[in-house]
Amino acid sequence: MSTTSLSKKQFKLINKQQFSEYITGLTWSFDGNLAVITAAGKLAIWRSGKLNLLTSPSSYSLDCLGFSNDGTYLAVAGQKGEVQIWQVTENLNFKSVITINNQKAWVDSLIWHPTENILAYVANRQIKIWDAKEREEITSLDFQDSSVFSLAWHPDGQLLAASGHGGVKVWDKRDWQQDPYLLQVPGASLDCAWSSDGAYLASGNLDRTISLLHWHNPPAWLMQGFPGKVGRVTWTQSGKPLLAASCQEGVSLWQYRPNNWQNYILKHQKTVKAIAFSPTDVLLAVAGNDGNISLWQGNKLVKYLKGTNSGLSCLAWCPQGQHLVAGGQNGELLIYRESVSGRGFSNS
Amino acid sequence: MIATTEIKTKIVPVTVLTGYLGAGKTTLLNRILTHEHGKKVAVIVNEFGEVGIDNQLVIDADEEIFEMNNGCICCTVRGDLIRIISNLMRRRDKFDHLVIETTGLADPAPVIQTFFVDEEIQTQLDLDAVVTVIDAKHIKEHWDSDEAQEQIAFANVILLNKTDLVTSTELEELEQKIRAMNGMVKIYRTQNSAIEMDAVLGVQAFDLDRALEIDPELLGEDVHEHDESVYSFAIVESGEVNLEKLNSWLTELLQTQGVNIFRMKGILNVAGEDNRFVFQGVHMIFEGRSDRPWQASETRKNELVFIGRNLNAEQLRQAFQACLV
Repeated sequence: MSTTSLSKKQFKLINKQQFSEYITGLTWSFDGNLAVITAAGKLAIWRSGKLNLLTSPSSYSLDCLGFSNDGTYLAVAGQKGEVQIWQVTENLNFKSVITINNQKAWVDSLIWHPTENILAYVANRQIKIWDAKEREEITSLDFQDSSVFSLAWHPDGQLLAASGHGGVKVWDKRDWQQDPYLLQVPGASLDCAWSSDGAYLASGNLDRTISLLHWHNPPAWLMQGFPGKVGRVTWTQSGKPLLAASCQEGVSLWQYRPNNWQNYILKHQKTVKAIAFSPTDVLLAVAGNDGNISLWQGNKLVKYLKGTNSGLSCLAWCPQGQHLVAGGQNGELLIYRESVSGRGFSNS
Repeated sequence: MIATTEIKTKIVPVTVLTGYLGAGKTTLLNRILTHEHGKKVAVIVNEFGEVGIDNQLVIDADEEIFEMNNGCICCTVRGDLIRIISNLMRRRDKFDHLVIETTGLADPAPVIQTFFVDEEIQTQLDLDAVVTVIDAKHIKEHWDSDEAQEQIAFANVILLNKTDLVTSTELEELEQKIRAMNGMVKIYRTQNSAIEMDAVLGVQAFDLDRALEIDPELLGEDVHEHDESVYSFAIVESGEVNLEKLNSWLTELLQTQGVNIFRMKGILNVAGEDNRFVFQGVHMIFEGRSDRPWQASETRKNELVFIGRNLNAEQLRQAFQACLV
């Protein structure tokens, strides 16, 4: 897609909501439910302009959430150590089906399997694999070296990667008992991500580096020279793999050109808090402490959406790519819809 | 290696409490919590102490030591703190004060280094002081342990607690021994951890803006008597420092002896500069910058203090002298 056609994309703020606290997470189901969690323990569902509050405020923050691939289940978890599983009923209501208690562990990372209703979540050093259909734990994986910072399923659903001290450990779903593969990184891995074609595994590291492994083809590349820890890594969701990594006020973009990785730095005014590629093209949304959303295509800034004055915390594209939502550090929820001017696009 | 630090707008002060189990840490913690009544105090504990803690936000965490090696800095940080603090900082009403209570067997260095290395934490919190509580009666049983020595060496404030259980001669000896190890620490004799809160809160011990407070006794002595492998000493030299020479010396020093240098601090008279140069270091981590101008009434000189294990004071003094113009 050419820069010209992408730059013709317009994004209009269609809805704004206000929560009492920092928005800690956002996610869309494939069928249009937007789930929102806050540091005051609130969980809300936004759908077609209407907001439905599922939990009342608490002193425990909710920190992670996710819809199962088929959109039937929603999992949320946080400081309370509980993983709440909600089920979407036929009339689009949400019903709490089970709460898994993990004592005092703060659960700040969870992820659904890409095709099955299987949930992986973190309780300190343990990764719990939980079957939503049977409502039981399948297994518990011990990361051993530290608590786990981040989880990522391989797109084909066979491998589960986990970030922590020493690197990224990769378990094979066909045999959970088998020792995990270790992508060793200097220091600790803070975030990990598989490219959409499953060929690459990237790790953002505490010691100011990125490790990049062509799966089955070690050794990994080590990208150095960052000014601080690399807290987030994410890949384009389709097409040729393009990696985005955030570090302080910058985002670096990496693309494999014949024989080597080439990169661009996308500079922002203040600390970057969230990066997300559009599911349908290479448009990268970046948000952070400056409160605005920048949309980049490669190293070109194609759009700048005014957000809030107090800083943004998270971002999520809906799976079809026509909605973009941003969460604020003061509880703002901003929902944008794409509208296209010019030729080449059907208005979705 | 020498980085110029930016002026930061810090928000939340952090107090690190160290000391052996039973020394009186939890009693002190409860005093802090009572003093900070009405404020939101978050407490991260690695072991539940002997007394209950009456606070809404007590986080029990496993101590997780992360090794970091990014070429110029090798150090250890606390992974659990990185995870917990970044989660806590999301709340809009956040908290007014963070207290980190380490286990009796913990080396304080990884906690301190976390606040230097993680820029996200560094910009939002302000490491105020390391406060070590020492059981005046039982410390002698632990005197040879690395942990006891490290907890003394890294302390900015020491509560020599349970003074009622020892004689005044014993106390005097103990204090001498502590001063030989750490020439920068403030020592308070206490019973039942009773202390004015001003002495432990708002200390700003890691703030480069604060004048370096060095025990004059430490500065005065040429050769310091010490019978422990951990000890502190000062280098005082008149003259002007060649910054380039100093930079390469420090770079090499931190690479080769960073493990043994627990802490260092100093004020330098840099050649061609009207301002004082101030610095501090923890193991291989170093920060320094230009400070206020030298005043006309002041004698320009260089003062450096080292606290470390098995350091060769004479060798370091000569190496520093070689950096003078």
